[in-house]
Amino acid sequence: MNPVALALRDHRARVPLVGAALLAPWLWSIFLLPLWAIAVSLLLTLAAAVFILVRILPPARDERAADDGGCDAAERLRKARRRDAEQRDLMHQTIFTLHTHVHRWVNTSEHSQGDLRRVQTEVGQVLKHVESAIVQIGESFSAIMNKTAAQTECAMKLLRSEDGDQAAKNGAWLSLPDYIHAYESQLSSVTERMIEFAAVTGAFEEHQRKMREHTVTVDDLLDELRAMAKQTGKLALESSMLAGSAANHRHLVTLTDTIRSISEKAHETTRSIRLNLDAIREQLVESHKTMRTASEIGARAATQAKVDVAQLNLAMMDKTAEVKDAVEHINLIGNDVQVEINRIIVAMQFQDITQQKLERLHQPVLSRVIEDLRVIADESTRLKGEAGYWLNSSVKADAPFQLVRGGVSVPLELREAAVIAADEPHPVPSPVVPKDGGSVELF
Amino acid sequence: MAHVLTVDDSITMRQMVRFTLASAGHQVDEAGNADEALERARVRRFDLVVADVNMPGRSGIELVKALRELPGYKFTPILMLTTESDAALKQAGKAAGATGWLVKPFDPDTLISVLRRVLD
Repeated sequence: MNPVALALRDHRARVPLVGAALLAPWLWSIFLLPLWAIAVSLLLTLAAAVFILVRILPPARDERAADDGGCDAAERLRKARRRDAEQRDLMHQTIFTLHTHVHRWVNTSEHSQGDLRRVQTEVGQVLKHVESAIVQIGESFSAIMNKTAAQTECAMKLLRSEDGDQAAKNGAWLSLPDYIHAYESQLSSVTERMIEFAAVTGAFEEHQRKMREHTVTVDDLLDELRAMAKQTGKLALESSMLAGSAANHRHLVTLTDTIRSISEKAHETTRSIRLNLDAIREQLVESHKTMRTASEIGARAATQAKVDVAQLNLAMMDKTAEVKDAVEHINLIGNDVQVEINRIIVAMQFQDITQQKLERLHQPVLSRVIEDLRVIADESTRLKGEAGYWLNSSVKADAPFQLVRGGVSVPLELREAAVIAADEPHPVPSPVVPKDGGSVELF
Repeated sequence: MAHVLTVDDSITMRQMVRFTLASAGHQVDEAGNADEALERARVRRFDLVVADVNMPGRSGIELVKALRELPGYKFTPILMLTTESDAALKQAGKAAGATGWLVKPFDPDTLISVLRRVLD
């Protein structure tokens, strides 16, 4: 406010007196001086009055009590003490609220620290589990891949020569396809020899058939000779009887012709038998040759087959042992793979347990900490505004504090206020409604 | 071959149990909570139930009690498979009628051997 206006307002009761005192010496000259001199004098008087009011006279507040004739001193003193008491109460309430708030802040922060320590511990365990699970899963997968590769390599060894083509040529460590080819070749060779042997056997059978035919012919000839011998016997008997009687000479001649004829026939038959026997002998010789050839071929084939099969059997036994070892190795690797899979299952369970732990941490603990901090922050913000107002109108800092209980003001020291604030139940702030519309449960 | 019902709110855990038991030649059905498990148990009879304890909704122990009241499940083996190892909780499970208590993470070989034992 303008100091001149303020001085006029404060000294409004004195302004007429000061003005009159300043103008009085000039009253006698009103009728003597010219008008401009009077105007100048009035202006100078007015300036002098203002100077006196602003600079010379004491401030009106200091003298208000003395000049306030309407109030007595006791009433003013009572009013002043009441104002002091109100302001001290206000100050105390402010400090008390601040102290309570700080106390709650300390409690909440300690609680939050405990929760956060728990979170820290749990998260540490979680991280350890996750890291362990990841490492375990990675190692297990790596081991599985290596073992699967070893299985494949082991199986592939069965399909290829151990020491390359040179070893295969020497008959050692043939691959399975080589074995199949070798057996096929061996079987083909044996088959060819058997076919050859069968052909020889066929020739032998042909000789045998011819020999049977010759034998049948010889039998027929022998029957014929037997019949001729019987007939010759009869004729000899008849000729002896005829010779005894000597009467039938003509009959004897006829009989002699007959005997001659039979004799010639017997001679012919004997010659045929000889020829057949010669043929049989010849067939026997051929059969013997054929049989010898067949035997030689068979023996040679059998010997060769035996040698080949024995070699193949030996190699196959070696190969079988190799296959057995390979299969056993594959089985062992399969068991190892199963163990690794079991480890992965355990590791994935750790992962799952970790996830559940994180969910449990995330929902109750972290949510509570966040809500606590949010409520405290809201309270602090509100209190900050109120404290600012209270501090603007506060009383002296060294005034004794008072706690208002049941309308009675009790003087209170700061230290006592702290103890009481810690013992008293904390004021419950109004619930804070979260943005998602859910209610907040404060502990 | 046994017909097994695994009850767990974690799909990972159900898959692990399924994988383990299926590799041993068992047939495995899954349920994500106790109510679903009870529905499946009413539809067909299982030879064995493997249940978690902490599940949303009804707990595993409540599931055991409910299963024991179903016809045909009075003597069916019920294994609890959980991360909990508290003695009081184990006692509660036993009182409810659980056959065994396995703590996660389980070893697949152990689970299979336990299954054979309770089925024999």
